[in-house]
Amino acid sequence: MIHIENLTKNYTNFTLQLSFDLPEGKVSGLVGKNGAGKSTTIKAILGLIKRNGGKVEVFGKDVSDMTAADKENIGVALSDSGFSGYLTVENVIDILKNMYHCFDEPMFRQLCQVLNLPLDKKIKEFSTGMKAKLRVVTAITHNAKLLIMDEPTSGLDIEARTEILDILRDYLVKNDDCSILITSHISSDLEGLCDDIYLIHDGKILIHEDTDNILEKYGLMKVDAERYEKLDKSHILSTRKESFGYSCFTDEKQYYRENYPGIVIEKGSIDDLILMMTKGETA
Amino acid sequence: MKGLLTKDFHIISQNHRYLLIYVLCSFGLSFVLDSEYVVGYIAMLMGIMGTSTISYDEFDNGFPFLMSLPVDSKTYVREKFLFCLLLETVGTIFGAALICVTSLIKGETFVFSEILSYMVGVFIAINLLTCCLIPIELKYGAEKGRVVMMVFYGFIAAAALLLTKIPTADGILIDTVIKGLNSLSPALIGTIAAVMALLIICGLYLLSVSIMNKKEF
Repeated sequence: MIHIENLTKNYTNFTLQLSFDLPEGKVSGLVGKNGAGKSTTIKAILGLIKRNGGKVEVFGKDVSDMTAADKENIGVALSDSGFSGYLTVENVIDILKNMYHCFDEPMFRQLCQVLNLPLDKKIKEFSTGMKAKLRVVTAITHNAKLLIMDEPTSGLDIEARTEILDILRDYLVKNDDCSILITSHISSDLEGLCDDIYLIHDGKILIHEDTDNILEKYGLMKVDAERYEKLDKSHILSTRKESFGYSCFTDEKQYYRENYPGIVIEKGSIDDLILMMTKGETA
Repeated sequence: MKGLLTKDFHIISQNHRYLLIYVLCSFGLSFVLDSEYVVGYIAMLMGIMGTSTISYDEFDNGFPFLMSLPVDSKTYVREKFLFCLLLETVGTIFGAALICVTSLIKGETFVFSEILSYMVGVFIAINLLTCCLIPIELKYGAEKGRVVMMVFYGFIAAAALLLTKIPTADGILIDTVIKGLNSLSPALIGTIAAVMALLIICGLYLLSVSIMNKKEF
């Protein structure tokens, strides 16, 4: 669905340089701190910025050659951009009807009803959660084969987040060949949705790993200075000095569990992955 | 294209109160001003309303989402030109209708061919002015665009003023132009003006497309 090879985008104080693939039927998460390059990557995939080098292909076509018909197969929800706040949802329905050949109006209306989105109220009067829900509903109601979601749950309470994630899960169940690229700060959202995770930092991919592997194999060890010295460091990805000694992030927690009985190893999470790989001292 | 046109019609229909005020103002003006001014006023207002939809698209960082829809830069620009043209056509026809109604109320007779010639002349002139605004709005955005537009209008006013001063300094140039035009039939002058306007509008369209193509969202 998406193939990126050595994508380069230069800004004055920042360079994005990465490669990645999103195959058909997969859900990939792009995680990283603010300013890591997640949104720039999304913009490059959508052809919203000019790249300085590399290849970006969507549906096997260079993104600069994408036609309106190709774009109909993509559903997009951007974190900070949507339909004009002066429009109502009823206006949006009218626009989408004339914009997409496969626009599913009954589904759109049904989702608006379920999610309590008023049809005749101006979007600028919507709450943050309502705007986010409308963006996701807009993205998934024209039978898109590729969904690109930039921070769809950012700034939302747990109830609104759960509703949005449930909508995406339902969409995946009904469209099993659909692929999703999603960025988020909230790791628990990605853990329950993504097949694999790309960790991006300073414009580069630091880690690409299956979500199951991160949760099963990765772990955070907490050791004192004496134990740290004796520790086999061949499977330690990064280390951080703490008041009690060291926090060590590993991709082989079972190895340390078996060879260092009594060692404290916490289950790995995407939050730990972001924190340790971007803040810790990498091996 | 259809989706974009629908969006813009919905956006300007939000301003129905202003539209009503414009209609009332135009009706009032039609009693005191010459016909061509009334038609020009209404057509210009409609044209400005058309170009203002670019500001609505830009508002609240709307462009990235808009350009992620099944729309490319060329279609976006084409839609803006078409939308302004449609609004100006409606404005010109409405202005002409208003003149006829006012003339009837005042008990004056009106010559339809005269009104038609106003309509064509005003439509071409206003369309040219509006089409100049599109690349300015696209290049500089709503805020800076306003300043550039003022400079642009100032430049046109200065050029017009300069042209009126030429005969007093040296009557030869303007006299030659007037004599030359008088020797042509009105239909030919209209055709030449229309072709020139069309060429300039095509140039402005290409300029707008190139501005949009260079833009990053």
